Amino acid sequence: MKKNNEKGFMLVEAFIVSTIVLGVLVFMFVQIRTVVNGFDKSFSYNTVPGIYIANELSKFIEQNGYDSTLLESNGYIMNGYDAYKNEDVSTNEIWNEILTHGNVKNVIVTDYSMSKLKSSDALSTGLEDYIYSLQVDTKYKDNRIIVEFNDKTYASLKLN
Amino acid sequence: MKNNRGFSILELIVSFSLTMIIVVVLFEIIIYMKELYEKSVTQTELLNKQNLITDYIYSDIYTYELDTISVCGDNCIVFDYSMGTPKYLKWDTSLNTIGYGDYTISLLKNTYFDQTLLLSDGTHTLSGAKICYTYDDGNNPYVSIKIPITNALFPEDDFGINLLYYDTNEYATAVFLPASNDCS
Repeated sequence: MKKNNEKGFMLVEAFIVSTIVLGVLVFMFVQIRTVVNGFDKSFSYNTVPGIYIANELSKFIEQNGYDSTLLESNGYIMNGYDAYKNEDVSTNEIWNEILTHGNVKNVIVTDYSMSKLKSSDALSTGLEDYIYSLQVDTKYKDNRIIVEFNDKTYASLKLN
Repeated sequence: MKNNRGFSILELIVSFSLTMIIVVVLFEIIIYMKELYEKSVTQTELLNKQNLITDYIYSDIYTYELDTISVCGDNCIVFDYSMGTPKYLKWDTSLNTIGYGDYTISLLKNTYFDQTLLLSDGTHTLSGAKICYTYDDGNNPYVSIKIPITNALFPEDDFGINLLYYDTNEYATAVFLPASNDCS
């Protein structure tokens, strides 16, 4: 007598169900990661204290001047590197005070397009993401200051 | 006659195991989202309070010419404006409040000033504040006033006052404040 055991699942059925369940879980995970990343970014980009510190830095830069020829040729200037007209700013006391008390990691002066800056290797991942999130001003074409803080927040202003 | 209705024990075990896995994962997600929501509400409120006071102070500094910054009592700094009325930055470490002008806020639960910071000008005490200032070659002052505020949920973050002011105006601001020891 042939005994036909119909209990249990077929292998195909088990595979299909597992695939569907795993697929739903992966989809949910990706969506939640996107929400969490967006949430983190919203709190770290253009914070109010950061904007005001960037403003003080821009006042210093505008007061002391910067090498516009270097900016034109390189597309951007990072803090401390032969950056400013009359002196190496890394030795300026006021500049260093602002960087220290403002908890500033990096200050960049860039042209309006930021194209050469975007292809630079010297940027951290977070800073690169922030730079890519900035809108390029094709109307007024103002130079821009970008500030990266040690607490992984960022701020940016246009220079006059 | 054999009754073929119902589920076999193996089917029950397998389906119950799968269901439990999914339920546990969903619970973890719900708990994570709930904690994230609570953190985001707290963080938003802390940042809003910080932003309001910071904005208020800088707005006055940029609008009304800042004449002098000096101590006006325990945990009190006065900003004297040549084109406006003096405004007082006051904070109370026991009541957990901080205010500027006519705007005062109470700190959230589990939010604290840094009471390890202590300054004195000989007459008054500024508890919870760090102040640094210097002058450039043109005798323009640079002032940094920090009143750190931390929350237990975000121990690494500062939700307090971080005022940096580099005075490049024609008439330099006079600063009459005690300076912290660790300013360099």
